[in-house]
Amino acid sequence: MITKTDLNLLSAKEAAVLIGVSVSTFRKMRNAGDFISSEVKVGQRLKYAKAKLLETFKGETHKLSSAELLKLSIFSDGKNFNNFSGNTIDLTKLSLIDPFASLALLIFLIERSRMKIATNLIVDDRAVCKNLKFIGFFDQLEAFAPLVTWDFSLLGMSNYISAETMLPITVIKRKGEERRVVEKLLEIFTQHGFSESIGGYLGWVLGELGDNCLTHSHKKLSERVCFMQAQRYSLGENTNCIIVAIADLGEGIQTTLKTNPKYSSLSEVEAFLSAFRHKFSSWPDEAKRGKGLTDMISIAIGNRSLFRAASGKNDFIFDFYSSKKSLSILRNEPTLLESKGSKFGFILIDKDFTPVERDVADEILKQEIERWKK
Amino acid sequence: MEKIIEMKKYGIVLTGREFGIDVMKTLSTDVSSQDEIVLDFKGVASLGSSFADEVVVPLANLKSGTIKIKNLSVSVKNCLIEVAKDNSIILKIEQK
Repeated sequence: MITKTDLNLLSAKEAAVLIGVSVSTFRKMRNAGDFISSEVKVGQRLKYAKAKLLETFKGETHKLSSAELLKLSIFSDGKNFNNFSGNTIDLTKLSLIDPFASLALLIFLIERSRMKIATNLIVDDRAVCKNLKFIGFFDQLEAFAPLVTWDFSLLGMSNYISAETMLPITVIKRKGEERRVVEKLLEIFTQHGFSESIGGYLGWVLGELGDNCLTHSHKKLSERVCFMQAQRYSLGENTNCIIVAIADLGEGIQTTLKTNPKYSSLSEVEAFLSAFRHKFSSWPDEAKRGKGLTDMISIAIGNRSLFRAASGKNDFIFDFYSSKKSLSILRNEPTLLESKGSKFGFILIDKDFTPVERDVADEILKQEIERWKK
Repeated sequence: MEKIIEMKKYGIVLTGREFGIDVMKTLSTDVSSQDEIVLDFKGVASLGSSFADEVVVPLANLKSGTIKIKNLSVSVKNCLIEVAKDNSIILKIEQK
């Protein structure tokens, strides 16, 4: 029953944006009867009550425990998923996989395929596998990892939708495409009730990271590719956050920095962590680069959130969320699904905040890196 | 003469160094050091520091390192403050 207060009516296109699916997926879902409770006929046209749609789809937001939030990872049977043996990965045991881990798994499988190593995935029709299907994980494997196999029929044919997904895995091959993706994401973001200011910071971070990934991901322009994904979570009654992840198939954070002779003698760990410092870049000093990753730190410190970054054997969490001091850098060992490419996972909590200045962020980082050098 | 540049014309998300360079090339044919430039960010949701480095800084340097800006969202303002500090330019923020 639709009441007067529900009568904020949306077109099919607007409703599709609201719940984060394409118009064609929306139509398929409508034909399957998924929107009956929100449908209102206005003249000859079918409209959708916004409040009813939100009630149906926002209710599914996953509440992350702080332990889950701090990992940006994959959970298998309640434990952090770290490794596997042989050429088979069993995805049916997974209980939760967030955007960072989805992209880490994707990059890992693509790199294996490029090294001519075959991998078989065990899948089923439970929530985690269906969610991976929904975000386009298997589509990307088909496109980029021909030596990865799975039984598609076991994934099920239902119209599963994840209302938490704000951006399915999206491929970006050319500079500038990331702006179109971010614009679309911001539109969905505000439709879901996130504040405009948090959207502004999200665009800043993703724009810088996307540009960075496409600059460094491969020497050949035609081989440059990066992947983005974003998902919404609830941290409690009135606090929402978004996890955005971005990953590429390049040489990795530390290897790229060390191409600058100034940093070539740094250890792998020091090079990895230093890449986040202000004005540390693979470019020569006169290019005045090395700001984007520090901006991400400045925003994360201000937001009291955290992010995870990994490439090669380096896999670190920069924790501004639970740390009593400004920052704790924690190393994940063993590395989650080790692969060369750069992976970034970033949590933004929807609240008012001001980023700290770059100098402050840099000083905090410098102190933490000193600790890791010892 | 005051010349207002509406930044939204280039998109609601202004990020990326190369995009900034392209925008600056377009702008440079349209502005001169005689103009009193005002950058209007109305409708711009996100600004990245790389883009701002390539557009806002050279425009400010046309006018002895000072530039007028207006209609800033919170994140755009914070980005510009950081860019200004890093490049020693002065922002004159016009009140709404």
